Amino acid sequence: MNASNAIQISHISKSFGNTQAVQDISFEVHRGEIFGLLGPNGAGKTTSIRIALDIFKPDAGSVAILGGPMSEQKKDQIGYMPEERGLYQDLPLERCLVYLASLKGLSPDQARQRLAPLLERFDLQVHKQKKVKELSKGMQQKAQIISTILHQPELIIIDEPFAALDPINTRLVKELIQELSQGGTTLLMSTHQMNQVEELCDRILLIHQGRNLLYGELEEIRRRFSGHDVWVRTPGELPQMPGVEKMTAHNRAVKLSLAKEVAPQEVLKGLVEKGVVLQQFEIAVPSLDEIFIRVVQEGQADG
Amino acid sequence: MAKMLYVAWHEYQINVFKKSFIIVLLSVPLFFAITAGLAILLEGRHQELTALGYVDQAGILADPAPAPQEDAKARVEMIAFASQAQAQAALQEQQVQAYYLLPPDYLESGTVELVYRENPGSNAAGQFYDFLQINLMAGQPAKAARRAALGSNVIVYNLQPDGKLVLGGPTLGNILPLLTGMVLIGLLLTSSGFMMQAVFKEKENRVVEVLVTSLSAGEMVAGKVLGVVAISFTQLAIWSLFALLAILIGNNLFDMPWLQEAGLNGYGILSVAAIGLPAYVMTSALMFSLGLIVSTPQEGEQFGPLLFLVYLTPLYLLIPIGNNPTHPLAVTLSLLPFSGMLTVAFRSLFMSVPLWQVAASVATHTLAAGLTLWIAQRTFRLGMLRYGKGIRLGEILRRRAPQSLGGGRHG
Repeated sequence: MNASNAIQISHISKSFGNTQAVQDISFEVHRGEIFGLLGPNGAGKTTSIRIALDIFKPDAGSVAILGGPMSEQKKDQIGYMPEERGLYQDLPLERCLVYLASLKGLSPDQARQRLAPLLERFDLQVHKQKKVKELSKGMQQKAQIISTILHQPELIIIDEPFAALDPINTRLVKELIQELSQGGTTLLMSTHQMNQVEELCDRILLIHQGRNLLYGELEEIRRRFSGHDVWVRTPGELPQMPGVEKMTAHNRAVKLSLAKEVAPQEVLKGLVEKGVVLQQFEIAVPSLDEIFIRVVQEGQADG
Repeated sequence: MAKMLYVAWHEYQINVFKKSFIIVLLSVPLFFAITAGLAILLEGRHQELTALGYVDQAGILADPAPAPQEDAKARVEMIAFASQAQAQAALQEQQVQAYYLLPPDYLESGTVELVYRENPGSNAAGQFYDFLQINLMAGQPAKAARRAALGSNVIVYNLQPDGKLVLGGPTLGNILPLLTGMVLIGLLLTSSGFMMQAVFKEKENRVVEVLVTSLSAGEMVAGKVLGVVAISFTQLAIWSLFALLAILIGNNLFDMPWLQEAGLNGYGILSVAAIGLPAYVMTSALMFSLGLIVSTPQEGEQFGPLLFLVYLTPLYLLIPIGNNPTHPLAVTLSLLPFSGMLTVAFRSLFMSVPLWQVAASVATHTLAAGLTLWIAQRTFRLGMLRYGKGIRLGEILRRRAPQSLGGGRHG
């Protein structure tokens, strides 16, 4: 068990009847980082989170959270936002949030004090006396995020934080997540929206059908899957180049797929030598979506 | 501890400050007040002080003694008519509200004819029969005649096994422990039913996931049960206050003898309340578990009446228990969870239930409450995320720490 890890999951498996929800999953979330747990719907993300939080016991494997097994004391240091819902629909918003915060160790007065600026920030101040069910989905999502962070936990686990949010609120939540991370909070974020993860996460685990697919530093993973394609834009025609296996036009740019042994620098040098006027020459970095599709299709699981 | 109290307070305030709760809370005493008020009003309206006539063809009221009536203002004048035609004319002119005809063979047949335009007041009829009674006793000492007319006040005593005599008549004071027991059962089933629905909702809207990552199953169950107990005892306390107020008003403003006899059977009420408290915990914990097990609230609602039937078991055995409240059957039922509270309440009508039996009943109910709380915790762990899937008893009782088995959505 490594004390620098906020979460350490080792070889967990869990089945429900005949369904294997997760199988031999391992990952670590370092203290202070933003960790992305990715995968399509039904991949086993929520089950993994529930196991990490001791809501489910795993059939096999072990879990350490904040340096050891889950305990009652640790619950106050963790903020958990389940996917959608998670609020009392019939309660006024403020009362609901104050109550949930009091279960996390805050006094109602403390909770109210901390709540006011957050409600302001998320444009919910005027709605605080409304029943939760009277709020829009997006507002409820923001309220849930507030409920998760109000007690200033050390570790935050959020399941699909951007669901139901419009672009403005998505930005608001992203900024909040970045702030929390800069303040030293550890965040585990589960989502199937890979583009959000690319902007926020330090490291990721990509799971598919309950198994580890890709795991590690986001940049390292992207590097691993980049380098074979370059984007080129030129006002004229592109000549045939050695080492270029395929040229695909996308709008006014052309994507050159390079042979594995060819470096992009060699292609650039060749183009310049042939007098091609270049408006753009860029190494194509694959999106996580592309990486995911490629990994699944090529069966390149690295466990 | 603090978290458990927060849960209890939360349960308490979301129910107690709800409009529907306040309406129910006030509507019950209001219902009784309106019923009693209407009864008093109708009774008052039915007090008719216009004179009554009589035609005595039997010759027993020749020199009549007046009817015994303590309140002179309520006295109805009795007017003798020589013939039915005269009485008829007086009735026609509304000089009398009705007249009675005693036929010549009255002493043999006992037949009395009553003639009226509108139903005569019940007070008037009562006074005429007293008048008749006292005059039938003419020749007897005046006191004896008066007593014969007014009848006797029978006070019933029960001889207890310990040689004590206790009042045995069904006065309001005697009935209060039984009333308390019945009200407690009604309250505990309704309030724990509300809790079951609330638990189901928490499970449905996933608040339960937030709760389980905030506090222990024990704190959660204990807090909810404590909240429910507090809600019901608030209702009971407020209704008791209204009842006391009614007794005070009945005692001081109205001539209501049954309210004047309402001496409190404090021991009986305390016995029922002492058993009621663990019974509450037991039922609330059971309903909490049901809220987690059932797949729809409607399914859960079916259990309410079932539980009610179990609680009312002593009512099916009312006659044997009433005939012999010290019979081993009555004692056994007093000690058993579910039947204990009502049996003790019912036996308190006839006797003072021995302290050891009350204490033993409290003990068995407390043990049962502990067991159901334990089951509720296990069920909570097992059932909190299980949708549309039952839990087997074996799973709950399994020695190994329970695991949530899901069955719903797994991301």
